Amino acid sequence: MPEPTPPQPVWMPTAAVAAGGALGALARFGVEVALLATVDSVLLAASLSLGAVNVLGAAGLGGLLGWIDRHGGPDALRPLVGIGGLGAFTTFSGFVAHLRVLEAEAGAWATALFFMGSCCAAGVLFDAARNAPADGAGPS
Amino acid sequence: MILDVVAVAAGGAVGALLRFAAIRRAEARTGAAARPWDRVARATLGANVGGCLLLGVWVAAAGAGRIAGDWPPAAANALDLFVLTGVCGGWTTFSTIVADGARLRAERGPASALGYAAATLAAGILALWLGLRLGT
Repeated sequence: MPEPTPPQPVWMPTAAVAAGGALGALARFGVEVALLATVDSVLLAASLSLGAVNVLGAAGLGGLLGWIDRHGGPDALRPLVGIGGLGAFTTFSGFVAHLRVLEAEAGAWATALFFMGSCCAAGVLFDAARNAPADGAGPS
Repeated sequence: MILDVVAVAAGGAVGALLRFAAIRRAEARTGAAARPWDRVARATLGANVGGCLLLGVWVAAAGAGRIAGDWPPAAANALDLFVLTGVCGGWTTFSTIVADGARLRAERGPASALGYAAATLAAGILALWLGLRLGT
């Protein structure tokens, strides 16, 4: 259980969220550009990029929240890495826009499967990352 | 290229701040002790719907040549990256949907988590459709 945090200046988490958001969006853009450059099919590259970014970002959030559960850490950690960084690294609007393209190419069932499958895969990895001790301390 | 990088980073910061403002407002309004899932999830849902709406409006209006139609291609492309990849991408989030879903699954069972994900998807598609209509 996270303990109640004392009042803190507003600019601190705000600056952390902005910095994390910039870095997270850049990382997502980097993955997209890299996959578009290496995979021949644009549709496949965009699907891989969105799936990978969202599933990895959710797993990363699980790992972060688990680490914060166990160790606490500085106040800025969750705004910087969780809300800003991984929040902006993952995306929902890009997903929904991509589903329109995917539906035209592969049908409505493929889009529903892609989204719900991503949610389930991400959920399993999120739980695993949150509950797995990264420091070898053993489950508590 | 450097322009694209700056555009994505600046947009991501703006988008993340918009989402953070919604989370803070929801926390302040309901009080920190009251039902942590509901207040954060509502703010996240609002951010996700807002980002999809903006994306729809922008894609439709830019597609019709009504935004930056006479800009040089490099600048127009950077503006697109700022708004779509940066602001819309950073305003909306997937990791928090999964975090809320995991909490729902633990508290109320897997059907609630799947229902929450499906409801978010439906709201997002509806917002995108509405945005495309508004932007045309």
